[in-house]
Amino acid sequence: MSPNRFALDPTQDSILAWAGGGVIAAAVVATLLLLYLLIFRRRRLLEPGAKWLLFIALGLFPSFVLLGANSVILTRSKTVDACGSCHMMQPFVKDMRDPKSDNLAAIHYKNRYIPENQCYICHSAYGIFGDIQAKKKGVGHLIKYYSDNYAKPIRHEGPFPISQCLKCHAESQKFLAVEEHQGDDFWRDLSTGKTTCTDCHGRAHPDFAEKK
Amino acid sequence: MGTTIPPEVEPQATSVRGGRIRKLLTVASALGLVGLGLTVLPMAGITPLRLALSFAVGQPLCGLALALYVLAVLLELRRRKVL
Repeated sequence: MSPNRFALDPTQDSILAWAGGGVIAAAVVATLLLLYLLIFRRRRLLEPGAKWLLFIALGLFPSFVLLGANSVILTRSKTVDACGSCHMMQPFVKDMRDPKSDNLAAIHYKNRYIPENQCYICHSAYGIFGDIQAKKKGVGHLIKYYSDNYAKPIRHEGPFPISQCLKCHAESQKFLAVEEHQGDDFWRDLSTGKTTCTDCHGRAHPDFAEKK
Repeated sequence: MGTTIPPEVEPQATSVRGGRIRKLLTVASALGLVGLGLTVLPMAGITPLRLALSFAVGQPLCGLALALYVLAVLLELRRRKVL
């Protein structure tokens, strides 16, 4: 991942870099300890000193490694590159990054309406429960990907929740100033799903038939 | 006579048990080693395979290694009649 000198949150980037380094360092120390015990003290593993070293190498350091690695990995898995690492997602990512594309995802990407983690921002709800739900879905997708247990061509599961668009647009003055966005009928149709954003503003991604 | 165990058999039985506990600790160490390696694999770059190996194999192996270690310690305490 190339470092972005204009990163939105340099503190988070810095914490992630330190946490990543700490996790690797803890894993290396635990690995060296285990190798030492397995190679040099294999016949004396029942000695109290060896058992304490084993506790450090199997309990203490791995706890830190698991906690830190999960935090770092789950944060990094929000990036567009992480989403594009599944080959069936590459056509979507490619289109989104294409400056000539007029699909909604591409418009949001090229104009940086969403500055980073563009896939994740649109496909997860706000807040901790949104995060948990998104991660649960992500693990489900991983299982389906490797068990090859999914329908092709892939489609979005269920209707796209309009709240994902409205979480940014609903309070925007530019959005509210549009005549078609005013009136009770519009909001009723939006809330009942009779009207969706893509009805007027075009599709978010290209149809599957167009992808290579 | 009856079912009384001859006194010379007992040290041997204890020694075998100690050997088994040592084997258990060796297996725990080996599993911990593999588990740690797989757990930190996605730190090198996130791919679906690395994520799957980390979450589905590496982390459970680390947990299993710790469980085996705790089991070995408990067996060792029992062998020494502390428990």
